[in-house]
Amino acid sequence: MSDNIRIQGLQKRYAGFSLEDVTFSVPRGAVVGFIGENGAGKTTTIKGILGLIRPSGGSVEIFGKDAARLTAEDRGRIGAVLGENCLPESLNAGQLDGVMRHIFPHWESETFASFLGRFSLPRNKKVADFSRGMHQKLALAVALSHGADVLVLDEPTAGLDPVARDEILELLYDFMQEERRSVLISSHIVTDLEKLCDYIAFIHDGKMLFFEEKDALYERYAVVHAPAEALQALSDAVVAVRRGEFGASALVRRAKLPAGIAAERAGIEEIMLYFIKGERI
Amino acid sequence: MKGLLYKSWLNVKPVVLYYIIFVVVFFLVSLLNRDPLYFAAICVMIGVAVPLASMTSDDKDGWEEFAVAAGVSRTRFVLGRYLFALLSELPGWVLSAVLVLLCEDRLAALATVLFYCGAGLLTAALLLPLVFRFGVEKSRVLLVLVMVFVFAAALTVGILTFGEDAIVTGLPLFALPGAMLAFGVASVAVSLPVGVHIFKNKDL
Repeated sequence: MSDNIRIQGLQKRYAGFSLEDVTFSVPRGAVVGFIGENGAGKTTTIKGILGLIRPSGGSVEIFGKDAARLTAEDRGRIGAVLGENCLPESLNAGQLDGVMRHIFPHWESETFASFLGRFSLPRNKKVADFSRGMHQKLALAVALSHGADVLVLDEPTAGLDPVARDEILELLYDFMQEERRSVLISSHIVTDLEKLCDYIAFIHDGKMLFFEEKDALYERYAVVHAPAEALQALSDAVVAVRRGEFGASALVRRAKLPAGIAAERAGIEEIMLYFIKGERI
Repeated sequence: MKGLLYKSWLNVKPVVLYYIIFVVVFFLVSLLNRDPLYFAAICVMIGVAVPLASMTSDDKDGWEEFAVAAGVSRTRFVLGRYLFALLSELPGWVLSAVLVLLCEDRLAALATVLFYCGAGLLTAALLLPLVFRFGVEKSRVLLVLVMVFVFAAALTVGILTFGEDAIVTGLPLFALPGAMLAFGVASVAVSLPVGVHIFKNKDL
């Protein structure tokens, strides 16, 4: 399967933070969930993909080309939602349509209008007066109205109620009906990612902890609840331990877990918490 | 480019009426005095205030990030800003030309207008790279100082050279205006690649 986006050894240094050796890909036909705590480097990585920052090292390839060499036509195949408030707030949807028509080589006004209708978004109301849910739906409508084959979404469902989030996920499912397309989505709402994603890329403190198929993660990791001493005996299998009032629990590698030890399925959020907050033994 | 210019226009459309009123007042003052000095001088300020208002709105909208992510090249983005600044000055120049035709001493009036056209170009040439480097908010104080300096200098030179109490005399009529216009054009020619360089190396 070829990749729509390939990031190799991406580096970016700021005073007080650096992105180090970020490597993962977004295959064609796949949805990649990008997780990490606030300040881990998700937005910096996404900005590196979209050409908004100059990397200190590494490479980003999109559609098989160096990202720095993409043409306007190529960039038009990438739909982006850059977090909250990513659209000009002083404009209304009608004016946005007029502007985007002359920004994107393949802007589809009819498609945009149909999204406005689908989401009941008013054409003449300023974006500044939209609710958060309306704003995010409008941002997605823009991203989906210029012939994009790849969506790069930075927290597109942040602050939305479950109904609005579900509508957005449905949009993304529809988008992925075409095999050549991909989505890279960063989100703190891991339950959304579990529904949608094929792969999970996990970044922590500027470094990639893993990039795996979601189902492989479920098969690889499990959670064991046991007294701390018992977990010590499983040190080969244990990735990290968390101690609570009523005992301890550990994220373990199933493959190294002795037979007969009861283990629960580890969700993506649990895996993330153990990696970040768990103790190593 | 059309999209960038249209966005810039939409940024200022809500406030353009206030600028028009301002411009009309000074146009009338110049008209009544048969002297384009007042109007030409205020056009220097308006010619920068309008693009600045647009860039303030763009800053608030995160427009730089959106446009570059959408595939607008950084060079084209910078060009769009310079072009909009030029288009903001153009109405003033056209109306100044009308004033020149209505003046008794058309040559002197033309010299005045040319001088301030140059001053307008110089001001834009100085300000735009600053805005690219620091953003509108951070460079606001510096911008005000530059604008006040250029405006005051241009007005003072204009009055001393062209006014009733002119103390600099004997220069060919178009010497100073020609020099100022040439300097203004040259400033823009230097400023543009500087602006492109700054923006190309800026993390958004």
